[in-house]
Amino acid sequence: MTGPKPLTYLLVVAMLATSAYFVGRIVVAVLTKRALRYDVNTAHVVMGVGMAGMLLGGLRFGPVVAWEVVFGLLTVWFLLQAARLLRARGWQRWDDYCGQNHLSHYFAHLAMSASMFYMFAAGMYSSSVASGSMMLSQPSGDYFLPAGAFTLLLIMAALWQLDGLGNKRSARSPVPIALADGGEVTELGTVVAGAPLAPRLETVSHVLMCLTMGYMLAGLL
Amino acid sequence: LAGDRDLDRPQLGAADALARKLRLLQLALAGFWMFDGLLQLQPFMFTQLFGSEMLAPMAAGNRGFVAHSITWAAKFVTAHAELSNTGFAGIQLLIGVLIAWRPTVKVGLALSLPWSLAVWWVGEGLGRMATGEGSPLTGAPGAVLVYALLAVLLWPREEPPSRVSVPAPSGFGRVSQLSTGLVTARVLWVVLWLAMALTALLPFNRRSSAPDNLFKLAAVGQPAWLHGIQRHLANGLNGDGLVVAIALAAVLGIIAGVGFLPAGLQRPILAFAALLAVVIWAVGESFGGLLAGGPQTDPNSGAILLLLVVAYWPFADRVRDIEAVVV
Repeated sequence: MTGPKPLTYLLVVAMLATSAYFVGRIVVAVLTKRALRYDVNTAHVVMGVGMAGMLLGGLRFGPVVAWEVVFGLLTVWFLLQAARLLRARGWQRWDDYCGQNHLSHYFAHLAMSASMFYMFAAGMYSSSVASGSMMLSQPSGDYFLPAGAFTLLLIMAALWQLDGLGNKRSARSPVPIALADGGEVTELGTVVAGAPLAPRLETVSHVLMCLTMGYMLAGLL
Repeated sequence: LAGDRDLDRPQLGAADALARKLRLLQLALAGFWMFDGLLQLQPFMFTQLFGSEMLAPMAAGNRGFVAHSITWAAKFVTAHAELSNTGFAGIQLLIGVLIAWRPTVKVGLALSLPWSLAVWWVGEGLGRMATGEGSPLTGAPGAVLVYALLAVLLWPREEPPSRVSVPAPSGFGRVSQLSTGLVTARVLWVVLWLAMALTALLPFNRRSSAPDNLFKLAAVGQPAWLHGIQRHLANGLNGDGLVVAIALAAVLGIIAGVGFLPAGLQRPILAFAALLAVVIWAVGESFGGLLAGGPQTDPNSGAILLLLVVAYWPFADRVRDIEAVVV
């Protein structure tokens, strides 16, 4: 069975553009010394390319086992980071970078990395579908429970990101300035070294990736 | 995490704590819409079979305009399978995203209302209510109606939580009262559960063979453990259709009236309602058919009924919340 070609092409373009965006973020952050989670951004570069390959056979390259190793390592890395944070700071800590519980730093990335690993392991990249075909692979067997579980995890990650989106401020967001007479005005913030780089656009990209992974996992349900 | 500052999470007042629960419920509802949207993206849904095998049969048993409209919609979807299904999935994902993003939560909830009613009409054939074949054990009066009910129930108020008078501790539907007010919340609850109770008493459900037929049909294609439970129920209840219908209607009627009962009884009855929702979801609806594999459009009514019960749960103030208000 196939998904519609225009939708598949649209998602391929979106994923490649997202990958390119994260490459750009890394470059800009290095050049301007802005705060950036290099592990997260690098992971999303790889995820975008991997998803484009799953959607469009002609974009596939490299042995599947290499992709599995990459996403297996990323899953372990984000799991360790989440565990480290949990051990150091406990459950109930608030983080003003994302305006949410601090564990949201890594939960979404852990869910995405693990989902990517699962999709590669389930054969979505290495199927017998002819190279260049627009078909989503349909591995045989009962994939519902793991695919359903990963879909739910990705939905939770997307919800978490969307809920926190309004709390994120870019370095140039208007900031309130208190006046001597008790009034208040707002003015554009000044970009300083160490300020996070486009956190809202980054969040929207995460949501887009979560939903695209959900679309691919839906083929296994 | 260079540059991050950690803060202790701010202490919440009682109203703020309830508002936070209201937000969590909105997010859960958004999650249901997203899940349905992703299910709608299964490859099968983009084929003509979605219109001809899933939508068209909903016309059967319905009369006149209802049947004609469903048949027309099914033919349209069959003829434009890819385009229409992309639209269906896109709308459901959009509703989820809009509810989850705080500035657009009202837009999302508002959009979900007409969409829910359209899906109830065309996709669920009015929950089979007009055919006389609906059963609360199989999702009547319609899962997507509960989505619409929750959209009303979780509608955010204009006033900030701190300016809203906090409902009495441990009261029925405390969270919902923050949005719709006590009367509306109670009316919605009573209407839904009473409708389910009356549906249980339909002649179709009073037939002696009704439980046997229902559970045997639900067991088709299910995993062995679930199939075994359903077959056992079918055999055990065979011939007792009238008793099952009356008992189920009585239980649903008691649940419908829970808001008018003493506070001490509300919690156990709501807990029982949650358990009943799980039982209906498992043995009556086979988890929306999701475990059987193959295409499904939603997880059916049991799961969303569970969310509804949580929305009405009499949450108590935590000591920390009360202290924050007193200070």
